[in-house]
Amino acid sequence: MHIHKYEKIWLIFGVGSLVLFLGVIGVAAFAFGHQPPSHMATVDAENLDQDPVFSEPGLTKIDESTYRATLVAQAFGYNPNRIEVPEGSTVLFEVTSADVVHSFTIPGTNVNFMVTPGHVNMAEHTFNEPGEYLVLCNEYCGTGHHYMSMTIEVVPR
Amino acid sequence: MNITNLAVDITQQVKPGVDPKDKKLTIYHMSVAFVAFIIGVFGGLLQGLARGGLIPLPSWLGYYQILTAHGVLLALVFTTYFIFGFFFAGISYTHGPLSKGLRKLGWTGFTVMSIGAVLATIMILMNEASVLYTFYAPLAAHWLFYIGLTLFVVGTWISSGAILTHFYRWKKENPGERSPLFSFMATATLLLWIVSSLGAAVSILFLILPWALGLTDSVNVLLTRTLFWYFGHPLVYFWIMPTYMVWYLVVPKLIGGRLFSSSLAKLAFVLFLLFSTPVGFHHMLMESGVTEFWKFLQTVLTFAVVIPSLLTAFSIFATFEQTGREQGGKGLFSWLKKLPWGDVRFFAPFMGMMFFIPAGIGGLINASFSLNAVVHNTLWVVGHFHLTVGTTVILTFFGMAYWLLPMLTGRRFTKHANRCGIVQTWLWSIGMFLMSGAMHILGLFGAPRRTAYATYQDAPQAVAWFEGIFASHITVAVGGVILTAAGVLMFYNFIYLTLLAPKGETEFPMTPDPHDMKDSPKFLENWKLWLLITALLIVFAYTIPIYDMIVNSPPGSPLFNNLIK
Amino acid sequence: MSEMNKQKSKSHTSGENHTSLKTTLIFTMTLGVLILLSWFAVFFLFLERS
Repeated sequence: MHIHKYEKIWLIFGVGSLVLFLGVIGVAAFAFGHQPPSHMATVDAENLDQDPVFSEPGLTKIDESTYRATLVAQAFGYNPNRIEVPEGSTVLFEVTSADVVHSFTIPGTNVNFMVTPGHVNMAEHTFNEPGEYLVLCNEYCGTGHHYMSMTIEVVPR
Repeated sequence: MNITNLAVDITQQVKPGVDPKDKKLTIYHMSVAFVAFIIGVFGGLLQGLARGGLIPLPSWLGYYQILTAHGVLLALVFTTYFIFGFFFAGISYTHGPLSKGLRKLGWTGFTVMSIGAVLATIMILMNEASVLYTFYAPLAAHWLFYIGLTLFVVGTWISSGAILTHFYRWKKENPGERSPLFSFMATATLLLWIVSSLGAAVSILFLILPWALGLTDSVNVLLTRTLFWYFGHPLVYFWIMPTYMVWYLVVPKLIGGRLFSSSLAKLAFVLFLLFSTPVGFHHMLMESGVTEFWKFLQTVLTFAVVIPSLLTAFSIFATFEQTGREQGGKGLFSWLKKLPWGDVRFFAPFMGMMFFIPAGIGGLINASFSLNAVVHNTLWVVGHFHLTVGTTVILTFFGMAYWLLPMLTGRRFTKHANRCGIVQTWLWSIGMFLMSGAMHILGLFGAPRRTAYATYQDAPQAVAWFEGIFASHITVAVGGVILTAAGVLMFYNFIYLTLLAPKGETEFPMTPDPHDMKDSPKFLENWKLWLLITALLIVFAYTIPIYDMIVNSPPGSPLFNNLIK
Repeated sequence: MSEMNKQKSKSHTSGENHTSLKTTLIFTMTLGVLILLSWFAVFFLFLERS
């Protein structure tokens, strides 16, 4: 099979770029922890009221600047639908669904993950700017999907 | 080559073309495609206007109902009918008329497909199936919707059987000969389609349908999603490969040249077959229940499927340059003037190629593992596939329609049709630039996809999505209006070319075999080998994660059919 | 180069190697640079947001 000289140059350049991208995201993920949200824990979506974690969703303080937010996504909202943390806090979100597939998405951040019934998904974010953060569902979940949102209030220290 | 074969070759040279009976089969496919197209286009218009907050929808018409119709009619029905129509015409042109039995099989496929498509459409119109074309469980449509989808897929298998058998018979009668590029590429495309749609069939028949019928109490949600994307990504290549076929086989002829290389073209199609399927997890990167390792592995395989597109970019541009220079074009860029810019049969696919540059780059970003968090399920993704299937594929298919339709109906491709075509191409390109461009930027700001008009109690961030100068839902709506105008013009072109244009002959513009046809390596034609490697790659990429999903699955989900009405 | 072109136009079957594909190389390289720039733009957006 004959390959033109220029085509070889192009393929080396192109494939080289692909390898570079894979290298960058591979190192970012496996060496620096920038992994996509891929939590493996499961729950019984129909009996969340008996679940040790999700029967009482809400915000718990882990230390001075770290919080854990356990949330239940349900058509068409989140429980709780508002949380408040001080500026500079790192929040670990643990979310599951009580019915269909939803997402937990904070526009303008990298917190944007799927919430599948029966599974728990997680992400972490540090809120350095005070203000109101919008959380929305970006996976179609029924006729009221576009009403599904909650708020994170980041108050100045 | 023996004497009988020579005789066949000579007769084929004397009387090339598509058998009238096969033309009829194709024109039926094209007609369904264009009817689905125009309904889908108006669905898109309503969505754009409603989401931009410019019009309220009537109470009897749901946003998500229209969205489902738009997706099913354009992404599934329009594309699939167009592709099978193209394949029936092309295979008949390349290898002669279909046998009576195979033609009958083709009609059977068409009928089964159509029953399925009509059934699914009725269920959508009755608001019993507003689950979007991805039909993610546990949102549940009426079981007849799933029956419709199943029949549709089974119909495509029957039609594929007819086309593949026609080619196989030729191969048996001509041992040792290199396959014509058309049938080689169509075979790769159909094999990919069959392998991947098996995933959707398994998901519907064994998981979703029994659950929707109430035979099982619950469904494994993650497994259905995985099987959907096992099918869903190759589906994208099922659209792209026929598009590339036009670029490789038709465009060189239209510009008065010939294809640059046959081996590389065949290699590209083999690579598509191998690497299109074991990559579905790049649609599920933000999802729990699949480990980082398997996601990364499929990301690597996804990047491998970029390589045939890199090959194509070079081959096509090289064909342009080679032709331009052969026709006396000089300099670094002035040979470009030799290309037939005023011929819409070339110009429409060319614009499609140009749009594939941002579309391909966007695709690379989408598939880039944790980077996906920036764009996942945002309008960026909608902008992305409106560039790929909604522009690159569709403009190429339109470019095909300008010669295919008059060829089928025994009419001429007139100057009037050409002028309408050029206007259509520009309108579509401008509309898509506005709509898709705005969608990409809105997506980077986090605006969600598949969402009706919403400001989330006037959250400042969400309100800003309506107030940007370019990055605004209003720009999306304006683009949608222009696209609708372009869609209506295209439907007129369809009517004109099938019913109104003056009678005459139109040729099937197929490039002559490239110079290296006879030297193209024989192993490329070894379909058993390619299918084996395809299967091994799929087994490698999917077995362990799917095993894990079944063994460690949480309690399944019941039906949620109340949420969609 | 012009000689090559003449040679090419004389014989249609001389194969593709004799035609200059300089513009193709420039086009593909530009495409490559565009890919790199766009990808890293989003990558830095990702880093900035995390």
